[in-house]
Amino acid sequence: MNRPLLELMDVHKAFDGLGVSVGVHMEVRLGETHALIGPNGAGKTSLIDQICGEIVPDRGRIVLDGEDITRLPVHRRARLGLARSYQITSLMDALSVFDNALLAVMAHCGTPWRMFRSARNDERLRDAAIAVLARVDLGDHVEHPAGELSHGLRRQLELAMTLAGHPRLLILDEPMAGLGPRESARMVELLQELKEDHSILLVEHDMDAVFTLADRISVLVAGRLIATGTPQEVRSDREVRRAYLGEDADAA
Amino acid sequence: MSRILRTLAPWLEGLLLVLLAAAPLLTAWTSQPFWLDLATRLTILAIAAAALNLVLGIGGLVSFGHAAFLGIGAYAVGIPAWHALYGGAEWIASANGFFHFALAAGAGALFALFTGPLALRTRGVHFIMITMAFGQMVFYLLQSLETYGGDDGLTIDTRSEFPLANLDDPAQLHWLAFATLLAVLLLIWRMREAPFGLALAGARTGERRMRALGYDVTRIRLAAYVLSGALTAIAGAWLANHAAFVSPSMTDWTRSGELMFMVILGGAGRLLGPLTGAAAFVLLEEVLSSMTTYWHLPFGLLLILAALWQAGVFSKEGSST
Ligand SMILES: Nc1ncnc2c1ncn2[C@@H]1O[C@H](COP(=O)(O)OP(=O)(O)O)[C@@H](O)[C@H]1O
Ligand SMILES: [Mg+2]
Repeated sequence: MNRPLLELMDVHKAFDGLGVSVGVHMEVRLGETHALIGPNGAGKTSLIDQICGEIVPDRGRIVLDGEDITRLPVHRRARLGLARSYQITSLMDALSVFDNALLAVMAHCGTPWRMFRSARNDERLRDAAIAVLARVDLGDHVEHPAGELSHGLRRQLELAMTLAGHPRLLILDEPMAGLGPRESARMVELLQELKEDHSILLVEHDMDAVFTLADRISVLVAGRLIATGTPQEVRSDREVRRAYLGEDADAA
Repeated sequence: MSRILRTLAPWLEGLLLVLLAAAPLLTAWTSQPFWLDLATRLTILAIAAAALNLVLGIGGLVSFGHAAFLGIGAYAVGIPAWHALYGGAEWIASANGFFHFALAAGAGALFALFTGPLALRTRGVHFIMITMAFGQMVFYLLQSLETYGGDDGLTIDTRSEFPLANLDDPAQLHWLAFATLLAVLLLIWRMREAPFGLALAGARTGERRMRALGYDVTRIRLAAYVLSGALTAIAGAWLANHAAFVSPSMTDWTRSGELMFMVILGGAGRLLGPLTGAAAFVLLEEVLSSMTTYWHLPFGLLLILAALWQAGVFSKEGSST
């Protein structure tokens, strides 16, 4: 069994008295793809926000590879190798697809303090940006403003933003949200490739995708983690069936 | 701007640059010194507008207090020059131009460095209000300096002294101010392509994503704000030398609104936009002041409304998106 990469220890968070994280213990191991599932409003995005630093937990600890990151600001965690995608696409809309990728690459190699030498003509940055765009099939759209892409292409760019820095942990919040069947299938293919050389925390509603991709699954219901285990274990868990999988038809 | 204007603008701005470069010769040829005066004023305002464009246009930070930097730069010339002539305060008394301009840039940067962190905690309308408040703070501070004329301001009896150049000669002053403008435009031109400018623009259009990528957005913005403050203060030092006069009214909030107007009229974020903006402003100012003596208030209010409207302050999303 691999060592834990990300550990959540007794994480609590409440909004207006309503618990969105209630004593969450969770572990993502090095190299695994760990799916986090649960009905809408269960607190999955809020949990990711706490892992990445946009929300500070009321109580508990978050540890990345042995280092306590509970109180670090967002950008410091990113530099430690946390990369996330958002459920609602979050890009630099006014900039080109290429500049978006360039900024993602630049964040991890090079310095934002260079004021005179062009970033766009820097071969190292350029090649890395082109490579990451090619990986998500955006090679033909480099000059388009990110804000003018179709939803599907925006989701692909959203994914590219997380890949550029060779992160230690990929955190993907519903990468398939709003995609059509063909785009979804392509996304699953992509994630299957990424799974080979990345540790991934995946939040996803598409159960076929989850059971195809995940090594382990955690189930969150109303802020509580009610089960963690292999897909088979989770599938056969009585509480999970009652609380979540039975409702799958309604949730979709 | 409409499409025609957009294609035409770079040509007009190029032409304007040529005219500004040749202004001393043209006015000598036509023996109309008034036009040189106008051209120099345009040049200096364009420096200030270009500096504001850095934070407002590229960075999306609607600073409504930039006139404070003009005042700081102007008094960085006025105060040392006054002491050099009338004695007292040896530590600052100097007629040396390098000292004046270094002091202007340093004081502008320092003021930005102290007010920036607080202002940058806020967004949208709040950022506008807090930068305006800091600007007014400088206004009242300068007004309270009785030694230096208080409300009435201070006449500068000796302009900044440089080796090999004489700022009492309007042509020389113009060319040096014009060289400063070119240097500032060159800096911004390079910066827009460089990692720093790209990161600053990225934070304007996708702050959340930029943080998630690992950028310390607040520090990048602060650096831009400090640089912009220093450059605007340099414009203020030129303004003082040009008018041979400094007064608190240079830092009035309507002045900040005028600078915003120039940036936005010229197209926020466009490299040469501030030239168009400054030209339009200087011309409007001339035309209106020849028509009525009560032009300043309605004109100022109009400009500010236009600027705020263009900056998206009245739209639901605010200006920080
Ligand atoms: N910033 C916030 N303030 C108040 N309530 C919030 C906030 N963010 C999320 N919530 C609430 O927390 C609950 C969990 O939301 P979320 O984490 O987005 O769930 P999920 O991603 O599992 O669908 C929801 O009821 C939501 O309305
Ligand atoms: Mg969610």
